[in-house]
Amino acid sequence: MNHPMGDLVIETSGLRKVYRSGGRRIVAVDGLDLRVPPGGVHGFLGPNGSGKTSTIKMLLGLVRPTKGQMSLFGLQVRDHLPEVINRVGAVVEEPRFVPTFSGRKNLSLLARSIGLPRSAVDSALNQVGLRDRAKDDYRGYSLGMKQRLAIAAALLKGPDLLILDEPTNGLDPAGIQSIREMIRDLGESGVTVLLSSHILAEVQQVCHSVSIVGEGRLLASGNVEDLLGEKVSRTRVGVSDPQGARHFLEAAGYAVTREPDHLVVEGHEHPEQITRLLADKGVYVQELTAIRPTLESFFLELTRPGKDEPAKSGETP
Amino acid sequence: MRLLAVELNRFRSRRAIALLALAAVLVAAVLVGATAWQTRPLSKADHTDATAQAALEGQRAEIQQQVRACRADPKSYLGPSATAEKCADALIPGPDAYFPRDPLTLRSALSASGLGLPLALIVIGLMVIAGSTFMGADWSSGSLTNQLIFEPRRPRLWLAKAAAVVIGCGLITLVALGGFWLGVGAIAQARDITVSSTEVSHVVWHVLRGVALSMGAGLGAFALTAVFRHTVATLALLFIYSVGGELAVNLLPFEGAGRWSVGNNTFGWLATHHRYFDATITCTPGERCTSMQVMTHLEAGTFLGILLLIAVMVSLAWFRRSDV
Repeated sequence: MNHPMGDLVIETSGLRKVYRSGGRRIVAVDGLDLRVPPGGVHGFLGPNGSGKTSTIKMLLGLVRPTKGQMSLFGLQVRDHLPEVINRVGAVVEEPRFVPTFSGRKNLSLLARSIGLPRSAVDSALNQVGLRDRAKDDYRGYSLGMKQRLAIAAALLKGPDLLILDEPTNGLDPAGIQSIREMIRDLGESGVTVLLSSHILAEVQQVCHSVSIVGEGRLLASGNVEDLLGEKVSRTRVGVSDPQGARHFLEAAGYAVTREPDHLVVEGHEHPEQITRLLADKGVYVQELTAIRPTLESFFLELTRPGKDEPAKSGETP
Repeated sequence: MRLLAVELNRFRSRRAIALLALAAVLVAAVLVGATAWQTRPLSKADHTDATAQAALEGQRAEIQQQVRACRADPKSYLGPSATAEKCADALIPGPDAYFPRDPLTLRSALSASGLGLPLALIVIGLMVIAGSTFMGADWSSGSLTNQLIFEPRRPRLWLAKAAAVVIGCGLITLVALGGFWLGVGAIAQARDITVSSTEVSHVVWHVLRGVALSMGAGLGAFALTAVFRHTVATLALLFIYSVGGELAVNLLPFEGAGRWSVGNNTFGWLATHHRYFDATITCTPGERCTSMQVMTHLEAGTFLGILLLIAVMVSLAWFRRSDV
């Protein structure tokens, strides 16, 4: 995951955003260093209020950073926004369109503002399956249809970078699946997708890499597999003598948790270490299951309140 | 030009603005009808009643006494060239003084008692709402975010929207005011009323000034809404400024404060000649002064233009830098 500086699609350095509200200073982003390589789907995760949307808005020129640098396609956003924005499609927060205009009218106005042909609107509407309802007023759309229209708007430019903030909000299961497949296809076709989502299972299914932020700072970044591989593995162990097995395992330095019908063992490198140790002590294992860490468990552990951990990275320093 | 075309399309496609335009045209049509009704030709009965009332008035003792006094000394009553024969005609009201209404003239329609000025004010008020809601809807729907993702050069977007407001408000006002005066002119023609070239000139200039003020008012409301992000907030501010400003002007402790009243300046710009009473000017006996003041088009235009310029500059600077 090492990338030369100019090779990154998104790069921020020391990015900071402080909002002032009612005499209070609210630090939304606090020295964020974000790197997104070209191609593939990159998850952008963090709890509510962690600075994800502020970061996205700064990248799109909607919000002015208080401090720090950011570049898209190797060009500084501050100096080259009009150039780079034509290569970016985005859905920020919830869908935002004129309620009394039809879906097509909303898209047409956006398309015409940058000289895109009518066919671009038709193509985008087709891509999200909204063509049949394109003439209806936006205010009559369901939440899922609004979300699809927002994605269609993001696709209008045929972007090289697609920034999607909670794109499956309000979609039914079929809609979620079709959007997920579309995102995956886009990522595989060479488009870089930055996907901000709270649905971590979805992120794990779709994303090649992730960046996790908390309190405006980067907590971890890298390939999903690399990040999860870093986790200490846990193994579910079933034995006839749990008390004895626990004693031997703890004596060997492993952390053991007693569950009603099994033990959970942490701190080992390979499960066979457990079987060998217990067999040597005359305790025979009936069940041995590696508990695979999920992105959700990793995320929750990383963003747990009070957790103050330096940024982990799947990248080689 | 591409962005301007998009914003013009957005302006004309907004239903609220279409309703405001319809309202402007309807009000103009209603006021044409009202003008036609208020100035309808006199009936025979109207003439008979007026003649009878004039005759009755001429027989009153006070009037007869004045006529006698005038005949005795006509010059003190009617000026140095007066003769005794003119006294009766001058002092006894004729039937025309008792006609229930005046005939139609373009001049009267454009005067303070006519319906031309109220129409201009109503249409300008509607265009203030149009300019404000055009920008307010972009903020409240959040669609401005999308627009900025497509066109991030904010001054360019602001200018395109502002130009759409100016053009849109100008066209709607031109149709409403132009339609009203064409209607009034058609009524005059149908009644064989002679319209002088001076009257036509006054009306044309009034319409052009009305269109210009409407464009400026729409632009000002748009500019303020770009800052406040809310139509209602802008309209509330303008209302407070209009009402509070009038009160403040009258309470200001210096003479000639009426010059700074929004109302006086608005009428000064719209009316052909605007005279107003300035309560802050107090004349002592023997002093050569008057509380009645004249507001010229240049003075009113300068005042309103500076207000607009301030709103535009602040708005543009704010919009360029603010977070969305």
